[in-house]
Formats: sequence, C-alpha cells, structure tokens
Amino acid sequence: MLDPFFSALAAILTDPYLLALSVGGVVVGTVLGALPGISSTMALAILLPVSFAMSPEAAMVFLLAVFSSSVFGGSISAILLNIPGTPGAIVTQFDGYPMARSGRAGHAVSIALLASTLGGLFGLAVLVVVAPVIAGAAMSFRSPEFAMATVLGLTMLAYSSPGSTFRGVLMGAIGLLCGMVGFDALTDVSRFDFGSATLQAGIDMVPLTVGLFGLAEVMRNLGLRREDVPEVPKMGSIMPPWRTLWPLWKPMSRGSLVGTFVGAIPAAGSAIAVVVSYAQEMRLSRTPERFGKGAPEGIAAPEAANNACVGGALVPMMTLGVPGDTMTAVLMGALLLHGLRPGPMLFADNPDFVGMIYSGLFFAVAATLVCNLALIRVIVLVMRTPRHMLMIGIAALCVVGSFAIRNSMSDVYVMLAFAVVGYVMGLLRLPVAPLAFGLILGPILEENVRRSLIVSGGEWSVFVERPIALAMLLLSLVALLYPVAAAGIRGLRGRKAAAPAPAAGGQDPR
Amino acid sequence: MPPTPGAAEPEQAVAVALDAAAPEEVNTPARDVAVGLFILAWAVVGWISVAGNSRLFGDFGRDPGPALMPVVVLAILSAGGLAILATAIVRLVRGAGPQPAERTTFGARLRPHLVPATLLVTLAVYPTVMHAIGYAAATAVFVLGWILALSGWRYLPHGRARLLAAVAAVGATAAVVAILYTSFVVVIRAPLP
Repeated sequence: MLDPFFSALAAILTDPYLLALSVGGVVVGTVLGALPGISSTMALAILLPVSFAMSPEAAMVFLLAVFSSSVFGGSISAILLNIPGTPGAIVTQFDGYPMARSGRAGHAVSIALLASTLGGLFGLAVLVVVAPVIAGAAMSFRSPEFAMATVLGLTMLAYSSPGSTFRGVLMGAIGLLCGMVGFDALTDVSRFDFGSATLQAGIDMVPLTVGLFGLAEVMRNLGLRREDVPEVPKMGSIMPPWRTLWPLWKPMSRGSLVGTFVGAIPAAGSAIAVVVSYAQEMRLSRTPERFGKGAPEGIAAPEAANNACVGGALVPMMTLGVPGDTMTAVLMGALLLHGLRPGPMLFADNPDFVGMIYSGLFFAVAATLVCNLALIRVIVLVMRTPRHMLMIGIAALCVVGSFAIRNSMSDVYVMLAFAVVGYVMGLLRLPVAPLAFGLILGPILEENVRRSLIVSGGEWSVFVERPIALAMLLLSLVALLYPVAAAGIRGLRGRKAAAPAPAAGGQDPR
Repeated sequence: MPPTPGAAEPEQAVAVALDAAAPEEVNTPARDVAVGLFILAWAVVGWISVAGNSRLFGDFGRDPGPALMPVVVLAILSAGGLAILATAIVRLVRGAGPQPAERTTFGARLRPHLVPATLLVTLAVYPTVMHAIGYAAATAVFVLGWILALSGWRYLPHGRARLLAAVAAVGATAAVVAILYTSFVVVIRAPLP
C-alpha cells in the first residue's frame, strides 16, 4: 500500500523541478490564502493555467501544494487582520485576533501552523488508509453507479453552496449545458455551436474556471471599494514556549479527527468542520470563558480541523469522483484535464499516480511548515500590498493565463464571458461552484447515462434496480428535498406559534 | 465586527459562527425576477439551438442519442426558471418581502459596476494590444494605467505624495510583468507574444 507513496516521495525529493514546484506552490499558496479577498478556490483557479502545460504528476504536486498551503494561509489574515482569508479560517479569528492584539501574533500563527501540519498529516494518513478500501469496494461500479455518483456529487455541491440547493442544482444544469457545447463524443453530432468553429471545439474548463472564480472575483472586489488592508500588528516572537504548546496536542488531535471525517462527507466542507471542532473544545474546556479572548486551544483545534479536511475531502473525490467542496472540484477538473479520471479505476490503473498524490500532499504539508517557520515575516510583509495592485495583477494573470493555454484569443474571450456570467451570478446571489462543476462532470454524466441506457435497452429502471445506484439517487433526492421540507416544517411551526398571539408579530417570519 | 463568542454556550457559538459562514440572504422579489429571467435566458438560447439542429434527432440505434441530455437539462432549467419567476411575480404583486429602504436612481445603482465594466473592456483589448506591441509593453501599460487610476493618483497633491505613488505603481508594475513572465515563459515555457 505504501510502496507507491515512498517511491513517489523519493521522486519528488530527487527531482529539483518537482521540488521547486512544490515549494513554489507552497509559498504562492500561503501568500494568496493570506490575502483577504482571495480564497483557496480562487488561488487554485488562477493558477490552473500555469499547471496546464505541466505533466500530470507535476501539475498535481503543484496544485496540491497551493491547495494545502492556502488553507493555512487563510488563518494568517484571520489572526493578524481579523478577516478570514479562506472559509476554513472563520473561527480562527475568534481567538487568533485577540492574541495578535495582545502582542502574541507570532505565537498565534505558529500554533496555527503546527496544528495545520498535524491536521494535514492526519488527514493524509486517513486518506492513504481509507481510500484504497473505498476504491476497492467501488470496483463493482458500472455505468449506472458512475452516473448516479455524478448526480450525487452535483447535488452535494449545490447543497453545500450558499443559497438554496434548488438554485444550486439549476446552476449545475447550466454548467451541464455548457459542457455539452461542441461535438458529442459518441455520435460526432455538434451541439449548441451556433455555427461557430470556436464553440464546436467545446468550452474548455480552464478559461471557464479562471473567469468564474478568478476574474469575476476581481471585478467584485474592485466594485466594492473597500478601504485598504488595515494595519498589520507586530509579529513578536514566533515560537511559543513549550509549556503553551505541549497541552495543545489534545485539541489538535481532536480537531484533526473532526476535520478528516467532516471533510470526507461531501457537502460538509471545512467551514462546518472548524465550527464543530471549536464548539467541541469549548464544551470540553474547564475554562470556556477564556474562549474568544485569546485561548490557544481556540486556534489549535479548528486549524488542525481545516487542514485535516484537505485529506478527508480527497477521499470521495479520488475514490468515487465526488468532490466534497469547490477546491476539490477544481482539483478534479485538473485531473480530468490531464486525462486522468478519478474513481476506483484510478487506483487499479495508476497506482503510481495515486502515490504521487499522497506524497505530493505529504511534501506540501511538510514544506508549509518549513517555509512558514522560515519566511513568515516576509509573507506578512507581502500582506501589506494595497488591494488594488493585487487585483490588477490577478486580472493580468487571468488574461495571460487563459491566452497561454493554447495561444488562442478565443480562450481569452471565453474567460471574459464567464467572468461576466460569474459577476452577474454574484449580483443575483447565485452560487458559481455548481456551474463549474456541471461543466467538469457533464461529459462523464452523459456518457454514463447513455451507456447505461444502451446496455439496458432503453430501460430507465436500470438506475433504481442496482442498490448502490439507487442509494446514491435517494441521497441526492434527500439533499435536494431536505431544505424544502425543513423550510416547510419551520413555516408550519412558525404559523402554529404565531396563531395564538397574532398581535405579537404581524409580519411574515421571513 | 465579527461576533466573538466570549463566554457564550458552545451551541450558541456554533450558531453564530455558522451564520458568519453562510449569511442568510433574503431574496427580494425583484432580484428573484432577475434570477428567473437569467435562468430562462439560458434555456431559451438552448431550445433555439436544439430546435435548429435536426441531426440531433436522427436514428442512433440503441444509443438514446445526442438529444437526450440537452432536452432533459433544458426541461429542468425551463421548469426551474419558470417556477422561480412565477413565485417572484406572485410575491411582487402581493407586495410581500422586504422593500428596499430608499429608492435610488438608476445612475446611482449603476455606479458600483462602472469600474468592473471598464476593467472588462480594457481586458478585452489587452490581448490584441499584446499581439501588436508585445507582452511586456502591453502588460506594463495595462497594469500601470489601472494602478494609477485606482490609487486616485489624479487627486493627490503635486510633489512628494504623487512621486511616492508613482514609484509604488511602477514598482508594482515591474513586479507583475516579471512574475507573469517567469511563471509562463521561464517555468512552463508557454510562448507569449
């Protein structure tokens, strides 16, 4: 089980190119994650074109380094500026910022760093142990199961996106539609091309992702006209004393555990994992009143949890092709881009590549620790860059990146078009992640649905006769109908409660 | 200020933090009308393309054919878009839902989108300029122009403040040009004009 892991790790350590990519990815990822206004998803999206020309192994090593380090980077701005850089850092600021205000910013960042390292390693260990088991169990998957796994993934991502699940699914449908543009793989009939040669080639995932998650976000940021980054407090000493660190091993371990398992549930995501682990630490603490005023446990547990989520979220993505959140969806897109389809067959056909993913993540976690211990003061300096300079730099990156994919202007225009779509969707409060995911998964879904129907002779019952396919279909329906049912029940209760005392509140509870 | 849980109960802290993570958006009927129209626009464009493509409905033997998925997805989109639009119109007619606190003029509502729209236009021209005068020059012009415009350079007093802002802008421009050149041309060897 571990042989491919060690041989891949040796490959990274002995190849200066891979080594430089991973370390470079870690530095870039930490800085991007630390900058408010740039999430892990945006960091991955704008760097996707850079990874396009690389070999699949190099691309994964690079993107995993960006992914894993940006999750830690998010906590730097949470601690120093009281603004979470990434969704996974939302609770780190509760105790991190008070610590920074009291002159212990360096200590808070180091605690977050050590917790992230431990969490990241724990998540990775679970991934290494659990993924082959799930992949083995999924070896019996055939077209109907793959089709339903795709439906499940799409629904789960819609469920986890902000706003209603129903709207998320509709955005996923728009993504599916975009994925159908161009020649149909089975029959070579061109669809939705409107007579344009550019559209016949299909809508490529990279410019779409760059536009939706990169440039649209830049446009939104520039439209906000927020004031520039507030004053960054002094770091103070970096390493906290041993007596502060040692008692934190328990919160860190608990956080890692929570993070891995919550992360592995599609749709749960790191934001939920950190909240659960923070609440758990408060409940277990003998002095819960210290929380919110600079308690080190309040940093250690959630930080371990959000980095453990990385490994956890990779489990369903790699074994079933169901990404747990937007970041893993982009990673999965990168895999597909390089002709590698995540799922049980990846483990059977490409064990070396799977080993490369494990060791890439391992090295990224280790490099995040080393680079940040050495460079944290420099990274904090970069955070003082005015926001507008940063945003214009990213805008240039989006254009140059989309152009560089194939040296084609049409990719730039596709990117710009989807930046507009993403910007408008932001104004309409619609989630963009399902759209990107619909495009990524659309071809897989269609291929498997049609293949299932070919085998079954056109019988749609093929999707409900096979127990695993049925289970996934039912889960999707639950995710879709649960919010509706919950709202209905809430409405009924609200009406009952309001009925005896109508004078108390004449207004609609909504 | 983000909420600090302090000595609150863990359950409360969870609720507060979850709210911070996913703020509950109130969908105004007017915005929902726009959402419905946005979704229906995709559906209409899709249906037009499907209707004009006779090859989609040929005989493909046991394969359900290339029309199956488009029709299913377009049906879902149309139904969903119509449902959102219909509910929004009903709410609009009934006057339910929160009303905007104050009426704003069309111009005032458009103003926040001015900078993003201008950025988009310049970005659309940028690759063409890149072809004409080369990557480095085009990027330098684009980045420097925008940084100076956004830093409010025009409004700074003459003398030291302007000089400092200009030096910072030139430095940032040089950094952007160099970083992009290194990542694309040196690292991944993608040819830029």
